[in-house]
Amino acid sequence: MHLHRYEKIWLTFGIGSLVIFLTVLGVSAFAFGQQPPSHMAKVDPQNVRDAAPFDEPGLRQINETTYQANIIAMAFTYQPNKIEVPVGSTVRFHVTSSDVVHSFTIPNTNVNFMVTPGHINMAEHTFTEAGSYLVLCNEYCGTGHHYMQMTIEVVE
Amino acid sequence: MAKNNSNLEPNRNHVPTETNSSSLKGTLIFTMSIGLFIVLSWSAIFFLFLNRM
Amino acid sequence: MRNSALKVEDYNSNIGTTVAPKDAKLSMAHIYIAFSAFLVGAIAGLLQGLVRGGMIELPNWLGYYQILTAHGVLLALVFTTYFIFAFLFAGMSRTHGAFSDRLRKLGWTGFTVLTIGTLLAAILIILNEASVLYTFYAPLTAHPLYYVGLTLFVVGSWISGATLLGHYFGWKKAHKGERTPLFGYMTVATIVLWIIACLGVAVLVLLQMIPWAFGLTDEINVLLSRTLFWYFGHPLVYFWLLPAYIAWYVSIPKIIGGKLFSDSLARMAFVLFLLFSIPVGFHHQLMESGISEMWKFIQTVLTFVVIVPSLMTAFSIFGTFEQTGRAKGGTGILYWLHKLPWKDVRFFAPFMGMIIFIPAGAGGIINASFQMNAVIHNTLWVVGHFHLTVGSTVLLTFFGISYWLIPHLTGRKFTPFLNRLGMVQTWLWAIGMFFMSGAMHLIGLLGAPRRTAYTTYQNHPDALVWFEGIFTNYVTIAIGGVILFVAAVMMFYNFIYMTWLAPKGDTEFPISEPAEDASETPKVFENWKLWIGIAIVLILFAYTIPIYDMIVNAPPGSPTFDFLIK
Ligand code: HEM
Ligand SMILES: [Cu+2]
Ligand SMILES: [Cu+2]
Repeated sequence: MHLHRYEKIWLTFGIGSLVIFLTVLGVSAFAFGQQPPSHMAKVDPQNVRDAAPFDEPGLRQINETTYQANIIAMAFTYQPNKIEVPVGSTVRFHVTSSDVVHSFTIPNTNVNFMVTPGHINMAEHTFTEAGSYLVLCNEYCGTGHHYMQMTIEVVE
Repeated sequence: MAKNNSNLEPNRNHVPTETNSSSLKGTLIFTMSIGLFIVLSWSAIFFLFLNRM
Repeated sequence: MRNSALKVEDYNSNIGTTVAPKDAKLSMAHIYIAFSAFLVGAIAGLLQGLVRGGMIELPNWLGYYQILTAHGVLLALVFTTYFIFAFLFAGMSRTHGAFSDRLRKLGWTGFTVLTIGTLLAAILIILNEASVLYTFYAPLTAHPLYYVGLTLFVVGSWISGATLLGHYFGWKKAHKGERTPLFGYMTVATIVLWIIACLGVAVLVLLQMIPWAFGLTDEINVLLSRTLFWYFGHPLVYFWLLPAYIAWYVSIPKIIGGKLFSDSLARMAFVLFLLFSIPVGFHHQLMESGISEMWKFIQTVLTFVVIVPSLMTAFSIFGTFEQTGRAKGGTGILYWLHKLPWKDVRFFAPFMGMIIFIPAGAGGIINASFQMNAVIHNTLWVVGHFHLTVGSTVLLTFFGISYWLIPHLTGRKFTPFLNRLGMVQTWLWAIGMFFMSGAMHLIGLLGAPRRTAYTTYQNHPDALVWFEGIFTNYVTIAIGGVILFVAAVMMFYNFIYMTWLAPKGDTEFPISEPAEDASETPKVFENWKLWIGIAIVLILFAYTIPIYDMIVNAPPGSPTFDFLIK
């Protein structure tokens, strides 16, 4: 089998770019912790409210600037439906589902993860600007899917 | 059918058998521009990702 | 005319290498269903675009998610699968001789089972008992018969696949020691890929969904079901793409009056697709809990490997164009491009598909990029992406194939009139996609979700921007959708014209003669046992440990949720 010289140049460039992409992604994930949301914790999806932390859904302060938000996604809303944090806060979202698959998505941020029943997923975000942030579900979950939303109020 | 078949039995004798470099210059340019496009668009979204951290 | 390849009138010629008439019937049966599904699917697509833009409201007997299910099933599953089998049956008959009566009967059996499955699924979608979208993620639950319909669909496709493989083995036996024609080689790779891929969905539907939907089991392992789905779902997209590549490698060189650039590289690309397009399903589950970062990353790396054969294809196909252009006297670095048959829709439609594959492929690399997936996951970006890949690259190539396949099968002529219609159709499709898919990509970056009916999220400012941009606007999507719909209706008319109205005559089924280097192609490429063996090893490597973990450390399962879809 014979590769044309130009094809060698092209494949070297192409494969080289792919290797660079993978290296950048791998280093930023495994060395700098920018991992995709892959939380391994599990719950009983038919009894999510029986055990901590989802027996008391809501916001909990962890330290001066860090909060943990325990949220239950369900058709077709989130519980709680609204949370409020001061600007500059880092919020760690722990979300599970009490019925079907949903997502927890904040447009214009990297918080965009799947919420599968039986599992807890999580992501963290620092809110550096005040305002009202929309949270929506972008995984089809039934006839009322497009009504599923909540808000995060980031206040001065 | 005794029709003119020129493009059905296409240029059997004209197709060059050698693959000298000059004959694929356009292909190299074309593929490398694809590569450039891929690198640029990937980088744009990667920076968007970093911006949104 | 300067360029002989431009003369549409001359395509009509009987060169003694045709699809056997009885095989043509089987192939045409697939074509009828493919294009009927296409028309209905396109109507659904039009409605979706208009609904999302807030321009119309559906009557209350028709649900948004119901038509979205129909759209996905009819276009992504029914149209593609039927068209692919039409093309492969015809092509195998053309290149490997007529099917034996026994095999053809098997082919009709496959068609029948496939069609019963399709009808069953269609009925349940119409009854609004199956609005679970074409991905039917658990634990949303459709009517149990919907899953039976899907099972029959897969079984039918296996029977049809077995028919094609049987024909190949028969040919092999009769031609000991000969190299399989490229069309047959690529068909085998495609079918083998399909069969291995469907194992995932077979296990999913037979062992998980059907017992659960019928109430024989109480609970389902949701993560496992999603993983099995995507074990199937990614190779599914290659099952759409590979037949388009077959046309690029085997038919396009002939249409432009040239010859494929390299036989061995073409076969190598297909081997790489077979090996690397399956152990990569986690790239659809990057944002999901319960799968560790390491396994996600391993499958991300494997995903990047399967980009390589497409890089090779870009070079091979463009190299073929350049060599042909130069052989016809073209000169300069790019001036030879003038020698290509730009006014011939059989070339131009697939060519447009190839060009669209550049942004489509670049987008795919972005989608697969591990943590970066968070930027686009389940946003309209993704919908924009696959309307470029399958909705444009694959579809435009299939349209390009139709212009000679259908008249060839029906014994009619490919006329200059049809060619003109086709050229307009191609441009309309490309322009419509530019608006629809372009706007979907950008609006997706602004967070607009996919699979979501009209909503402004209680007039939340983050959502209102999707209705206010100049280009990044739901209205742009709707306008693109209208243009696409016009193009779709035109294509449907072309199908009618080619089937019943065009003047009687002959149209060639273009198959390129072997490339210069075909005689040197290493024999190992046809060692299917070897490739299937390696494919299985890669699959086991990528999936065994994570799936074991999903089963052994599973959380309690989920019951059915059928009330949520009604
Ligand atoms: C008339 C042309 C078309 C129009 C106007 C159109 C429009 C749309 C729209 C607006 C959506 C997004 C709906 C949503 O996410 O809420 C969609 C989804 C989709 N389209 Fe198309 N489309 C067209 C052709 C095609 C073709 C040719 C294919 C494939 C062969 C295709 C495959 C799909 C698939 C698989 C989905 C996703 C369904 C799902 O999310 O379950 N479409 N289409
Ligand atoms: Cu939802
Ligand atoms: Cu994929």
